[in-house]
Amino acid sequence: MSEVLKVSDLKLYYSTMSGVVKAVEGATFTLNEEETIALIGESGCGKTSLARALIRFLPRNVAELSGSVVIDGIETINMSDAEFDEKIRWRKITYVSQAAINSLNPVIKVVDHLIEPLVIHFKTPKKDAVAKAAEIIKRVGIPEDFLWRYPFELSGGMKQRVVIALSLITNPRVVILDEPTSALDVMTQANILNMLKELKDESKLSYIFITHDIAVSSELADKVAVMYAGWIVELGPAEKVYVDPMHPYSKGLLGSVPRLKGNTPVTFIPGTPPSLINPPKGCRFRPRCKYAMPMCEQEPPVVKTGQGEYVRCWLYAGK
Amino acid sequence: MSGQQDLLVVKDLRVWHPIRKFLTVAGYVRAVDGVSLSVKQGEIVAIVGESGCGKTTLARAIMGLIPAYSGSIFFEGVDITKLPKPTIRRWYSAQVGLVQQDPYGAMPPFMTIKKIIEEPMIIHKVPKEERERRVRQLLEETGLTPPEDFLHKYPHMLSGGQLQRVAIARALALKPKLIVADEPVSMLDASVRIEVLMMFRGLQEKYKTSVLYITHDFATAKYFSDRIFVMYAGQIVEAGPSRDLINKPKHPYTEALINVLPDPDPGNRFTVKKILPGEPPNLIRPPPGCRLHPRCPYAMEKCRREELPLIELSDGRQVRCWLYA
Repeated sequence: MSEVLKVSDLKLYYSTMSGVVKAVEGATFTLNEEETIALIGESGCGKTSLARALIRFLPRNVAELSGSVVIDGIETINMSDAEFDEKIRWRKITYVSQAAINSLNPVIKVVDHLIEPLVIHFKTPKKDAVAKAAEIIKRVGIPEDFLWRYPFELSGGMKQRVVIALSLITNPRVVILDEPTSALDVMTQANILNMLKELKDESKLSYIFITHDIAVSSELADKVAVMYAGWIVELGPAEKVYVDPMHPYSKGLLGSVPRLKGNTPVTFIPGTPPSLINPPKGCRFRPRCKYAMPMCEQEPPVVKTGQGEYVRCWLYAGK
Repeated sequence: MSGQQDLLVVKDLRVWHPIRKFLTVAGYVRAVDGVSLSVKQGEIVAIVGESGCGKTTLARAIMGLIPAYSGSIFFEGVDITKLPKPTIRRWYSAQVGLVQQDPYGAMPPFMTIKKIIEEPMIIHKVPKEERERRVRQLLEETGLTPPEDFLHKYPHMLSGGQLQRVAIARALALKPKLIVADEPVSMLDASVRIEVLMMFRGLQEKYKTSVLYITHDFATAKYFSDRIFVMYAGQIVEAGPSRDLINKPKHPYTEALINVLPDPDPGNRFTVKKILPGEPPNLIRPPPGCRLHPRCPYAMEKCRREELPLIELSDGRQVRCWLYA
């Protein structure tokens, strides 16, 4: 399996009126071909910021963006926006944004949405682009004649399929899915997840799957990165993280998921996540952690727990 | 909690929204079509269904906010569909509290937290000292401590979880006998969601309030409610004690819904979920017979023709399906 994405020590700060927001710090992970990494965590933990830093959909108030992002063998962190646009965005990596179903323009036909990236970025003749659109829309399970309809004529699930089709039309290596099912009903959600599983195998895709719904994340994830207050606090294979999480926050987060099978009691994590302008000294989870020790006032080490796996916690230091 | 009196009894309720064309009524959207249910004193009853199944319309009708087309809603034996509007406003509105889905939208941004919680008590003429005492007590009970820190804040200064606590405090202000909670935690994060539900449950037990919990989420309904009613296309399709219903769903629709809901499990990624084909029906012209039959894997000839009532099963559960008739 070849590596399609390698992120090392990625840092993203925003400057705001009240200070510098440390949205992402020290994010490190790799993603192989046909592999899915799930970024899970609560709102404001930096999942979306991390994803947007990879595809450079960033607001203007970025104070610092550093580290290394290698996409399909190309280092992108120092690229200018124009160069990134020409070589990386759409070609190597695409993004399905949150609430994407509302981003379709209701007065532009589905087909015109779909061919736009091909016509603009690849200078494909319109006729070929339409043929490609017809092919892709069938792959996401929508009849071809829907190409000629307007988005307002489609249901939520169908719109989501169109947006996913749009992210696939340029044959990218990596697709970022930011909460792709959170606005949908359970049945439609299951339908979309089934489709994503099939597409991944057919097209050798890699997904970065962002969600706050831990149960749903397990539908796709091969690897899981648990994020808290801008840090990846734990990164490991699905078999480990869902079954026996290591970091106290991962434990708390998984413990707070109500389960349909069995009678496991649910628990919650007291307190609220910290401000990212003035995060607590040392471990950012310390004020809410039941295992907190005096040592935790110093920045926790990144403890390697396997090939490309780690946990950021003093509990595991020196083991 | 069984054996206690029924606080709320809904009988064959229909809420049809008229579709007007010029001056005539061209048809009806049958949002709620023949729903019967009961809520006992101190019981938490969940109504579970997908969007558009009529669960919020049902809740609004029970609150007395929209008129019923036919059927009755008995609250402590009084049919509120027959009550004149002023009586509903004066008496009934103090008996039921409402917690809405979106805490940001439910709070007037120009009012302080104190004012927000106090308002229902001002309307229902609670004396001033009593109001002040009650606001503090409610803030403490909902975990917003110390109350001084919150009294004079405005909604935008609070997090979503804190605002939902304020919404619960406001709903409890008049010590209502029933609280209708419409998706109270669906907008909150996983860890906060459980915290708010546990706090809510604690207060519900303390005040012996009944709760009608409207949700699309079976998992929280399992932990939070005593009984579940499953709604599909304006009708109740199955009812029973929460854990029994989730562990052994009987109606094909409930079964399909529960089967597609994941628990966090690394094995999920290797399986393809079985889903019902198609989409919920149009409620202007629902299909004849059972409303699920176009999507149901077990559909028989009978299902296409004859509509059937909720069938009482021997184990105290109810199901609307010919498979059990």
